[in-house]
Amino acid sequence: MSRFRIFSVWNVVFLMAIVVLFLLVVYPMGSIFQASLLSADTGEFTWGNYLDVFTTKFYRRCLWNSIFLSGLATVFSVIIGVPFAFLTTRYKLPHANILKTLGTLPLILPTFIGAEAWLLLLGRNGILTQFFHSIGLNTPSIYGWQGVVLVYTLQFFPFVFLMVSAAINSVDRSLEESARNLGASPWRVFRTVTLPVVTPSIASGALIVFCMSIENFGVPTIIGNDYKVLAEQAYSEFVSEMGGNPSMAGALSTVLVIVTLALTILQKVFVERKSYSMSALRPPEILPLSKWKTRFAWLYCAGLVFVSLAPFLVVLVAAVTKTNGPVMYYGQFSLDNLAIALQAAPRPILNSFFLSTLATVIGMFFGMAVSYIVVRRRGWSGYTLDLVMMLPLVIAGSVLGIALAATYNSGPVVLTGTWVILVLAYFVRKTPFSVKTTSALLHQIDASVEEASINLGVPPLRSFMKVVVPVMLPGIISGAIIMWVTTLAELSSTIVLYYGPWSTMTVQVFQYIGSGDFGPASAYGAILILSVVVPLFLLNKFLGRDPMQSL
Amino acid sequence: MVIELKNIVKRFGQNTVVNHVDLTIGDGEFFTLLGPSGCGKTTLLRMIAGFNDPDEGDILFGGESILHLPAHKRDTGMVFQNYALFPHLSVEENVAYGLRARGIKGQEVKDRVKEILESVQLGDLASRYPRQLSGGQQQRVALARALVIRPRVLLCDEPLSNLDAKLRVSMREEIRRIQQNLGITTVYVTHDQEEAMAVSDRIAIFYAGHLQQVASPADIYFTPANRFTAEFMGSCNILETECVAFDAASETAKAVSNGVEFTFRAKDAEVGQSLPIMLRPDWIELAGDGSVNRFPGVVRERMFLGDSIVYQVEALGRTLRVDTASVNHGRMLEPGDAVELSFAFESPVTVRK
Repeated sequence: MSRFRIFSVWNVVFLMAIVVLFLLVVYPMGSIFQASLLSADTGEFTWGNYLDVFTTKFYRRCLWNSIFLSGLATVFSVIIGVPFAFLTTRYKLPHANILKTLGTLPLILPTFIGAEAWLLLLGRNGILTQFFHSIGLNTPSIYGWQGVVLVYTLQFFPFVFLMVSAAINSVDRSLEESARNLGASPWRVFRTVTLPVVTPSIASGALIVFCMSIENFGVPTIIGNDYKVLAEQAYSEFVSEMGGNPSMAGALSTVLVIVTLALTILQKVFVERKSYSMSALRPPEILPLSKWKTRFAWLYCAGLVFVSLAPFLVVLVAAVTKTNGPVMYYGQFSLDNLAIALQAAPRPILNSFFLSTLATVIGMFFGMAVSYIVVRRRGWSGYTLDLVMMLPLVIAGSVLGIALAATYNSGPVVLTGTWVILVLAYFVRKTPFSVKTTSALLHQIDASVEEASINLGVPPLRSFMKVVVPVMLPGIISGAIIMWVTTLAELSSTIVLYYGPWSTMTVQVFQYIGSGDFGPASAYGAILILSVVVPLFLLNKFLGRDPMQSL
Repeated sequence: MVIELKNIVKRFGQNTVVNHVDLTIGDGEFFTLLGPSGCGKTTLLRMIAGFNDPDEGDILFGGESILHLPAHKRDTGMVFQNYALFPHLSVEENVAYGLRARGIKGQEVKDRVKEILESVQLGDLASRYPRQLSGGQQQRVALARALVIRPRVLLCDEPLSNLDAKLRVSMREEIRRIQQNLGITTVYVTHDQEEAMAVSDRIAIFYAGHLQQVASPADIYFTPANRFTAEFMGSCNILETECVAFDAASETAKAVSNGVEFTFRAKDAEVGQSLPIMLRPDWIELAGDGSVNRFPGVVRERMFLGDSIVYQVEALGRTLRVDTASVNHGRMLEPGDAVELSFAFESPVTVRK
């Protein structure tokens, strides 16, 4: 009997999922790790590459830069994100819901377009630079680490905000009430009850900010100038025609993965143990503030939203502005840039849509199956699958790109230089989002609901489709939209894996910025921004859900 | 449908949660698996439903093994502890679910859904969704959904544990009534001994994966097989005594506890050995005039429960619980009062283990 069950449908799905993830994550990462242990000259085993990372001044600098930038961005994100979360979640502010929705938007807007936007504002030919110059003031330079940290902070603080805000809402009102009842002052309640309960989520949010920052490729390349980071350098080592060094690229990649992995493990061990998740029956009271405090709080929140989003409006404006290389003639309307993007070279746009849609559809079904197994199958099998599924979250896009490109470059299956490898990379990188949104909902459906269906005579797989999928549907849709929009905005793995005809919008933006053509860059950028914002808007309007809240 | 469980063993890792269980449940019988949480009773029920497979042993329905059948082909109707209603389907659709799975279509589905919903008094709530129903109503939907398919066996996994006390009492009466009307073989899991006594034809008491006793509610109450069963099924006092004389022919034992000699009926005893006896709180009389088994005591606590009064009485070097019926405005004993206690020759049950 038990033997018969081993071949049940979920076991087959589990095995398939494991095989797919092994081929697309574990094996490629293993092979670049292997490459990093071989000497580039002799092909023999050596620790030399790692020795180089830590002894060569240049590489050591890259490592330090990566950690410094990400650390600083993390600190700032916490500093501005935590107050934003408390103010919008716990206090009565006018239009708090709009603030919250807009506050999550920076997460899905492409960071390298954020970098471009700040160049349009504060770069050498930036509109603000020129304005201040005309009144005799010099603006601080946006180039270098300060610009990178600025962009990271403004785009990643919503992770902290979302995590903290969710934690605040999960604290049952009775907890604070009982503290008050025991004689604690409001401040004491905050200090001794609310804050400790929320702290683990601050740490989780901070970790995400750090990982997102350290894996980022576009921003430091665009406005970092000589400020090189690991994600960028691994890529350079890999693609460089002259003196390209796959072993060195492997070593740099491995170091990058180890840094994020180590932090994630630390977080799991020290923070998650202290996480007090409860299902709040009554979410905490929303408190009114005095008139002046309300104004001040509102100004802070609205100001933050404005500063993080306004630069993207500048990109939209720039898309329809007459340009000449990096020089923008604001006020002079022109469709030339859009004409380049939509008429002369529409292929990258179509590519982006095609690749994202395909990756999303595959990821959606895969994610559904994986989250089901992870949630329903306690024990080693569910745990292993969860671990492997989430692994890509700690792997920088450029690193995964390098791993896939190097692995499927030769051998029985050659994928490097085809569009298939782009879809696979997107699929692996973005499916964790789908798994997260779906399993969040799945946790709320008791296993007995499904058992009831089976008990009434419907076979397991059909029971899953008939009673589990309908309940998971909002999560599946949210997950799919997040996957789709973040894939559209994906630069770091694309830049490694794309080839000639399969250039995407992100590659176009990146290359036009590189050559100083801000007009066409903005045109592609504007189309990208709209493609990302519109589906989210529709989802919010018709499903009444903010997909980012479910991450 | 006769259900036979043969030598069932189930292990989860190192734990043996069901340990060599043999049971035969008669056709149309209301059979209850009773025990504290974690005793293996739910696991046993889930093995009948097909959600867990036994590691050893066999399960037979009407003489045929069903172990080769996957859960969805066992044709059992199960009522879950949390009802497990499909949240995205209306009451009607929930109930029709199992019928549709059996390929029944059109008017017959409508008729049968209507009929069963009326029999659980939910006819007017057919188009509601589960979240719009109270706990008791959800419970009825779950019952209707399990019964409408006319299963071979009805399985209930603590179906009333999420309801408040009053509703629990009325629902258990309803379940019993419906079960009697349909004559359906029912296996019912609960940890509530009062509920078990109220509904069951027979009860199987479980502890730590082992079957302790299988008998009618009255037999278990009056003649528990061992100490665990005695203590689990209602409240009881256990007196440690030492046997001083035993006459097998008249089944009479004399035993001493704390210097007092008692005479009572015992099937089996050995002189010089310890002979623990169990006395239900209402088997002990206060200020009794019984001629045998008298002993003094002092009232320590009193709890008035309306229809009865519970006294904690210090006697024989320990505290005994004594229940008495309350008399309309009758005099109650006060803490500190000295009393004479007694129990009848027939009352005690010897409990070993």
